[in-house]
Amino acid sequence: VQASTTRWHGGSTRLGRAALLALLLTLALFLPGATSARADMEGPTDAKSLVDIATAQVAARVPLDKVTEGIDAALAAPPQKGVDRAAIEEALAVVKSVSATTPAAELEAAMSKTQALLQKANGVSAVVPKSTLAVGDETGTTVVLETFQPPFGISDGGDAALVVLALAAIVGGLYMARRLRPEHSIKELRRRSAAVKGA
Amino acid sequence: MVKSSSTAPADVGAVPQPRTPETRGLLGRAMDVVDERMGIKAIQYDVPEHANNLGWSLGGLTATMFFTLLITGIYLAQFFTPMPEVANQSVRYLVNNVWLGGFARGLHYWAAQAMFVLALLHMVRVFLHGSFKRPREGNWLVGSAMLLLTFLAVFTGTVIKWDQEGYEALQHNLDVSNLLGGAGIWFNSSLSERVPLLLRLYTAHVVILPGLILALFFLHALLVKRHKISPHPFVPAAEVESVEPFTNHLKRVGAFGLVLLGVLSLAAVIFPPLIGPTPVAGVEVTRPLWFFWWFFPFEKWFGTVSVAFSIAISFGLVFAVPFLDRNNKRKWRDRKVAMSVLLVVFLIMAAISVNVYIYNKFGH
Repeated sequence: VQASTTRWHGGSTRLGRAALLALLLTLALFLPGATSARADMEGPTDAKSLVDIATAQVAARVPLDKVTEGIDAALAAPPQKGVDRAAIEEALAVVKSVSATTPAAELEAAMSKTQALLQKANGVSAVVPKSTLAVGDETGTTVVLETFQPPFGISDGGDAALVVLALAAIVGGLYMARRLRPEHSIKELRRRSAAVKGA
Repeated sequence: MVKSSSTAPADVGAVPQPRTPETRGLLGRAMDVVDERMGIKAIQYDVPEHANNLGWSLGGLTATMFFTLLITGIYLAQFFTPMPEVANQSVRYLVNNVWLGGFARGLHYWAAQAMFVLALLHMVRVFLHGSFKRPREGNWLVGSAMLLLTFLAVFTGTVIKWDQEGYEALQHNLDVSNLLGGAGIWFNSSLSERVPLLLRLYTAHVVILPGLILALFFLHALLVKRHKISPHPFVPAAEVESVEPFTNHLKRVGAFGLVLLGVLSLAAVIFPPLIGPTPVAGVEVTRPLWFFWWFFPFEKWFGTVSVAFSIAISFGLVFAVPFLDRNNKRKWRDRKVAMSVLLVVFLIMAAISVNVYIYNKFGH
């Protein structure tokens, strides 16, 4: 009997492992593949977005050849309203004027200038504009809305269901509270205590 | 005395006792496994019979409301946008378009008031029975701090819905904080000028205040366990009472809590809270939620500074209770001065509140 039990347990473990493996495989099949999903992604092709991408590359200080590649891509894009092509070309010239052997401070200054030019190309000022969102204790109100009072009482089936559940909670709670009540009331405890103290 | 059987948590290094799985249900065995590692059965400490009555369950009911607020608050936070431009509108969207949004908001609204009232009633019960007296003075202070935090949580909750009433409440708060000078910096926009006060109050409402309440709640509960439930002043002979594990007390609190939850759910459906108009600065046309009424008219009567003083004095009195009522008498009949002070304070607050109800429907 023991041997058969052991065998059964062994079979059970193997079955469990197989089920777990099957579950993991199923999960793996249904999970979207991050690599393939990324490979399927198509990048933006408009000049403004490509300038943004080049700006991000400069800000992240990626290698110069990558920066050049990014700016070239922006220049190769069809002209777009609001994108200053001359500024992009100027940025490209700045990048090409430096190399990996350029002193660090000079390289840093060039990168900062490139970033500013690329942002200028997209019409972004180097100076951060004052926030138009409310700050401090400003109300932020543009349109004064009227008071909104949801209707009193039961408005629909959902409300009715909630009321039924609420009533069930009240009844159930009262039943449980009574069922779980202590054996003696405070009054009875006081009486018994007085009797003990008086004895 | 009838002692209940309770299982002590396993000592470190102790030899594990042989278990008999055939005599234990699945849940029981699961509890044993968890207890062996986490010591959860430590909460099965003895509780006297008198503590299983409604009056002695008010603290537990306050905690029930707190957890109700946490759950409904987490749900509401998924749809609320705490930015001045859209906060009010996001509440309207929540009520009109989100599944159970209106119910969740209603329950949150009523549970917040229930929590504050229950905390007050709990403290009154503790006060009347002298349960705060030695050695429980420290726990009274912890409870007082929780009451203050609850008060602030209700206040911030009032403001962040960002309607005219909430905004006017904020303006009163700003008036007071400006009077405090450097001490009031956290409460006004001078600390962080680029961040809306609404966002900072929202952070306080959903993180800082509930976090502090939760931390103090654990301390409060641990101190209750350490000092044990206080004796009933009118049942001095403890041997006439049976004892039960604290878990039974929790069950009864749960039963009462279920009733309360049902009542509040009914209120949430039948009396849903309104949302006022989007706020406009420079006008005063509302009055605050009813439990701020006891100090609301002071600003007009005695100036802004009196509001700060009245709140400080009231909470100061609450904190000072163990230092003022220091004798060893626990029956309320034997503490005439303490009871008189309680009665006078209550009557003053009630009278001012009634005055506001009658005369201040549209602000000062």
